[in-house]
Amino acid sequence: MNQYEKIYKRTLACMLSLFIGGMFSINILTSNKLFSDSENRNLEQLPKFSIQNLLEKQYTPSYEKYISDQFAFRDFWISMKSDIDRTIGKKENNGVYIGKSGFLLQKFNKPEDQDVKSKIEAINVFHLANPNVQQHIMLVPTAISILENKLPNYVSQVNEVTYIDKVKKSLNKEINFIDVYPILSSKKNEYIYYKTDHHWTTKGAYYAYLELSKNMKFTPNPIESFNIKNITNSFYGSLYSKAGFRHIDPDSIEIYEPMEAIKYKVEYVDEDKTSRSLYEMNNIKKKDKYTVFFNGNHPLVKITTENTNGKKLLVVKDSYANALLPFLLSHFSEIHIIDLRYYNDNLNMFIQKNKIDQMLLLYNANTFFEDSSITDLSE
Amino acid sequence: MVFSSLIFVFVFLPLAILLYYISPKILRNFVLFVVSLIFYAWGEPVYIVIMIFSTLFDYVNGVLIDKYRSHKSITKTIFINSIIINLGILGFFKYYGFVVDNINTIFNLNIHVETLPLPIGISFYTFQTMSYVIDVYLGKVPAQRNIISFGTYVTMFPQLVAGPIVKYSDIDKQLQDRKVTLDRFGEGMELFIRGLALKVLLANNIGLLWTSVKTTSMSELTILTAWLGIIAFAFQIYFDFRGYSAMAQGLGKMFGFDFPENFNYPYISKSVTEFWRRWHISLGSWFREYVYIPLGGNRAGLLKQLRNLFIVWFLTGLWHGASWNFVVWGLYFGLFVTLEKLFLLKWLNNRMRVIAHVYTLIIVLIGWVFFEFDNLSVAISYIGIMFGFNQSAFLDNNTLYYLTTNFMLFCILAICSTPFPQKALIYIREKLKLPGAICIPIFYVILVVLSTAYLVNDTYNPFLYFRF
Repeated sequence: MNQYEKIYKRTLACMLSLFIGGMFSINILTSNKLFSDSENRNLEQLPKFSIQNLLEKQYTPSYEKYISDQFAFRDFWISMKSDIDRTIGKKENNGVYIGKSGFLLQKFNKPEDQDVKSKIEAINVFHLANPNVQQHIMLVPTAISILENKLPNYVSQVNEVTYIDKVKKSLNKEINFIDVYPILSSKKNEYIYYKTDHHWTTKGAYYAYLELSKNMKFTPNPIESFNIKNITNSFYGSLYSKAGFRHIDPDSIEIYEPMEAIKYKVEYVDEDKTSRSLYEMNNIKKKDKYTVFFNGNHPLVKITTENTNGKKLLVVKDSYANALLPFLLSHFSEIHIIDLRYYNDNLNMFIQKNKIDQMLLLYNANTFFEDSSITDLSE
Repeated sequence: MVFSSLIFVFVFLPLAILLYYISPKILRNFVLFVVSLIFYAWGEPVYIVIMIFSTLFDYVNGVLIDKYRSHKSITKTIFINSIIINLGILGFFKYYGFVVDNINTIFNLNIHVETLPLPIGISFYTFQTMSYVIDVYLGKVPAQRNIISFGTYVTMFPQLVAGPIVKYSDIDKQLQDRKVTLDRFGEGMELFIRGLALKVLLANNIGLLWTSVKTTSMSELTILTAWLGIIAFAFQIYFDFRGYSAMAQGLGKMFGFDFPENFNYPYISKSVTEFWRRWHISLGSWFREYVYIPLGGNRAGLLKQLRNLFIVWFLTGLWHGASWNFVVWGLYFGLFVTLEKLFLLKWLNNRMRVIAHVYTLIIVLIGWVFFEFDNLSVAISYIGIMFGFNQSAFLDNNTLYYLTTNFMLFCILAICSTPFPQKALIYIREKLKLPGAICIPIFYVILVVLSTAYLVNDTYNPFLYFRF
């Protein structure tokens, strides 16, 4: 062994021990964190030891989770990993593609045929049970279908639009299917989907509102009648968290305030709260800024406006509706908003009791095909 | 606990090393023994009893065989008894359910059994204790009278869960006396970090591609995707296993032990025979020494040799798992090794080297299909797609997506399957003298930093309000 080899081995021994020993010490010295902002969850704490825990193989997995959750500079390591992945050409992580110009696009998972069938069945049954209500349904394609040109090269994804069309064809002909694919697709060069979140932007929702107006036969408010307000430029949405990719530009959120404001009252029925605004502006400081619309999701929300046309609308929906609903205020006297994922009462009774005359079922394709609560309609 | 985890690298390892190095020499086997028991109990708090039983049982057998050396019949009884019990334990945990399933199929019965989970590392440590008893019986090594030393041999955590299978005769002397120096510690660290990087950066990463191909329905696979998939698996299993063996060797060195090499660049082989001399070397040599040669090897005529080859490859396959596809996989290789012995090797030697390489790789890749799919008919239709028997397209967008997003990774994997990177590192180090001796360690620091990033990321688990 020559002297350089000796130096080499010793340097190696020292440097690596220093790194491992260093991380070991830092991990001991840094105090435990309770919550991770970037992962939006509580972090594992030191588990309590007991012989029973140990023998049931519960102690050691919790302990390992504790070590990894409390590992020093956790966020730094995660961003480093995603940087390496991008450098060597990887284009997806956790079911999210990193597309062109910093767009994150969520994969569409192929739904089970049986599930699709039972959802269609539920909607049709519900329609038959409520013949006096004029029914509309809008299934919004997600960014992956509209912004196909933003996908990484050669991605061949399960075609979301064919599934939407399948639903359209199988629905009772008296149910009005509102197809927003053409209008959204024609506007794909505008900022209609967030880059880092799975929602559409307020602008995207506005275009859908135009399409909705044709179907529901009311005159939409032109874009000039709104005061478009940018409320944040630092929105990192759900896809950003899910994918773990870093060094991506944040989104901005706009709200469209009508210049001729009408008065209304928002009642969060289950929470026993009322509000004079559709927006919860404090949420702009939170991580999940999309919740400025309606402060997130609620089982049942009732909006009463000063409009005297007497039209009563029921919207059964997911979070995509939250950005669209504000446009509807000037066209209805009452809007009832139900989220089936949290609402447990009978819908037929609700419709009779509140004398609903129009109903809109609004989902993005992802929620529609993945969430099973839609079948609750027919119960 | 696996080596490629944060808790091992950043908690267990530094503590174990610290404890070991501050202990006086006389206590070191004991420290290693205790640390190993903790390591094992971490993952198997209950089954540790079986390992301790195996250890004690074969310790006693060794001592008894030594004591009654002059009484042939007594030693023979002890020896056979030991082999039966060892294989019995292994058989019970590993093959019980498999045997019952087969009996059910053959006799059309419906016996239901609760199979127990397989204790970690049982296939490895059983082979180790057996090698000890056999060697003592054959008089190749003296019996170990020190229970701590023997316990250290069996339970030693570096090679406990995934090999290499260290024969007792390999480290008999090292158990008594071994050198622990800073230089050797450096060598050990080098091996360990290299192994960690191979496992975490290469194997895990390409594994994602294989998972994705494997879960695609057969009707949607193209010819090229099928090939990419199985190549990805070939890289995954190789770097996983080689990485793990390197980590084991490295850890061994840190504690002063020299373990035998387990891999020697198998994918550069020019024949299947050569492949098996380079792949999982410690297993191959175990079967050679304790099965093939005792059965007569190649010294008892062609027919007996063929029988022996059949037995060895049948067992090699079965050792990998309690399922027929592993047996098929073993016999498949046995067939090619036999053909090569009979005439193929001669034929290959007279051809261009590239033909021998391509032949070997194709045989090995097809082998991995048998290894990966426990359902034989699925394996056969996968092979059918690879060779275009299923009217599949040659490629599609998916194939191109896999290819473009993994291109760099494939290049790195291919290069790392050859001795080139290792040689290059040594060349640079020697050429640059002092700067080299200082810069190459920095490269290893980068490797461990990158590996840490991947290990932390494995636990990245964002909670998402997708229901909002």
